[in-house]
Amino acid sequence: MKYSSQGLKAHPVGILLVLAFLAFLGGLSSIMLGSVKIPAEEVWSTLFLGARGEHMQILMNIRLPRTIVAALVGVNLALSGAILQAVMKNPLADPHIIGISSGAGLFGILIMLLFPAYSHLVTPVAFLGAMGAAFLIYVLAWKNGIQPIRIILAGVAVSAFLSAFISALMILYSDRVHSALMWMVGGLSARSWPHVAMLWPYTLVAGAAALLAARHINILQLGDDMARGLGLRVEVTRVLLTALAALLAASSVSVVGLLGFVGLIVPHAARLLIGSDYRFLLPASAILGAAVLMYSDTVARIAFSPVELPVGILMAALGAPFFLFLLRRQL
Amino acid sequence: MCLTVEHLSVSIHGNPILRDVSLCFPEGKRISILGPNGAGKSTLLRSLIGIQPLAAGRVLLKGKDIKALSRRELARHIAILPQGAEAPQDTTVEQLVGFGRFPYHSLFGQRDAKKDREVVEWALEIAHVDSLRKREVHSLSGGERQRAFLAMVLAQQPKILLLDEPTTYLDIAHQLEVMNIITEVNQKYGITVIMVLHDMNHALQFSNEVVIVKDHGIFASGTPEDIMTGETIAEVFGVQVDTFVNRNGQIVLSPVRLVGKQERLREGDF
Repeated sequence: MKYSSQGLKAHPVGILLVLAFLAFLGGLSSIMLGSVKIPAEEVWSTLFLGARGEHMQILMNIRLPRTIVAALVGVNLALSGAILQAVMKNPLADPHIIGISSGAGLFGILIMLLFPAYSHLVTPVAFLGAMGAAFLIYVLAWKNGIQPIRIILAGVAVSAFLSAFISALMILYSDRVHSALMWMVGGLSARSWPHVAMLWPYTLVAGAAALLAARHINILQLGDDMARGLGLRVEVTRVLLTALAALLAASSVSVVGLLGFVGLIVPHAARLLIGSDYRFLLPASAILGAAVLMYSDTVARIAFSPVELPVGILMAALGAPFFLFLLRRQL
Repeated sequence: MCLTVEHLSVSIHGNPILRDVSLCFPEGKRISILGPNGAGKSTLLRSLIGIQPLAAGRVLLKGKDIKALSRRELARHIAILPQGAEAPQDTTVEQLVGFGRFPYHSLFGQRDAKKDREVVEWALEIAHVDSLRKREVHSLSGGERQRAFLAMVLAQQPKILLLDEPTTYLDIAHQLEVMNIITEVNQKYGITVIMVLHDMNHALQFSNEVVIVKDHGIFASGTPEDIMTGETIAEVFGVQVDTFVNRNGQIVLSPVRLVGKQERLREGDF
């Protein structure tokens, strides 16, 4: 992946600290801003001093969990994308490529449209769908190990196949399609503590595993033969990392719907800031992912108040031009 | 002691590449593998470090099947510089050479940072890239780049170094520089060098053993003076060569004309 290194030559740890500060501000504004504005002092006193201010209910049961969900989803999707870009050796690789979105999409919509009475099960079922689709792509791509190009091709085929069923369902049940549409775009509306509980174990365990694998990913970037010569078990590493990326993305997508562009754009932006050394690129992607999603959700929430836009729309609207900017830079 | 190959057979997509090859690569030498395109040279080289799946046979390092060693253990004994090694654009030479220490790291990172630093310094110096250490690999010329990658595999501290066409795409000055480094590594540090070469004269000048691969098997092996005769070259490559002795007293081959299939076709005896 080509980026020239003109620009910052700051120390990576310094860049990480700046990003963390930006993420902190993003979290704060996400908690403070909305149809009801909560002053910073009240946020502080409620969160850290146990005070019971007038907005405590909103703060503790709506804003705070939603902000945490945004942060965790941002971390998981960005890590997943960063891992996949290295594993697939393809700058376009993101969680969609391994079928996460089509799998979660089909299963989530199946519940919403056919079994609306069970809509509380959307998250676990979508998770199963996402992992199922990823596994199917794996099996189809397997031939003496995993080759990136076969995964990408199998991913395109499986995604197209599952999308056909999604479209069919949406047309057959067009009267109920509103909730499904929100899910297809991806949004954080009404996400609360149960979703936080669903997400954080993945962020913690898979995130830690990803950071441990950072040096292995660095070696993988030298090419398969070189990596093998340096003692890396390339096939095993690739399989494990793809599984890790699938878990991270599936946990996110099953909670917020098919939120695109975070997994694609954030790792590229992080690479631009901090370089290709995955020991720094992974934490930078994670922090930037959290920050981007918290800011975007805040904007999506207040920009057209009282109507709330799904954050997925904003991500696509911001992500696509940024992606073009990256493309131009490389030429 | 030898790095020994026993009854090695390799097929790729059902096509036989090597058939029942047995050979000893003596330790401490500089060994060139020569042969026409597609004869199986690179495959043989890749087999020696276990990155080429074998149809049959085995490779023995100090009498032990290399399959019994983990990838990581093997990487501390044998290093390979394959064709087409790449690095992310912003990787500096120093970082790249540092990657050569990977086989010595644990899951959680460096075991001995001081040792790693010393070895990296040593490798940077041997490959004459110490002055380029802060440069990005992608900003280097072809020759500098190749030396940077050479430094990386030297940082593995291998006892055996495998090189796949180390001088391809380099100008003649950079070719000589790379060959000189390889010779120094062998003579000064006793590292066995096994390299696939295309340049006959490099093989003559810089190696003390030559293995000629033809038609999926070993055609000949021995000292370059013994086996790189005009007769052998004509038979293996289908090229007639003249032999000179240059001012250093080295034998030099110069191609004259094709004497292969094309030639025989023209003469009508095919």
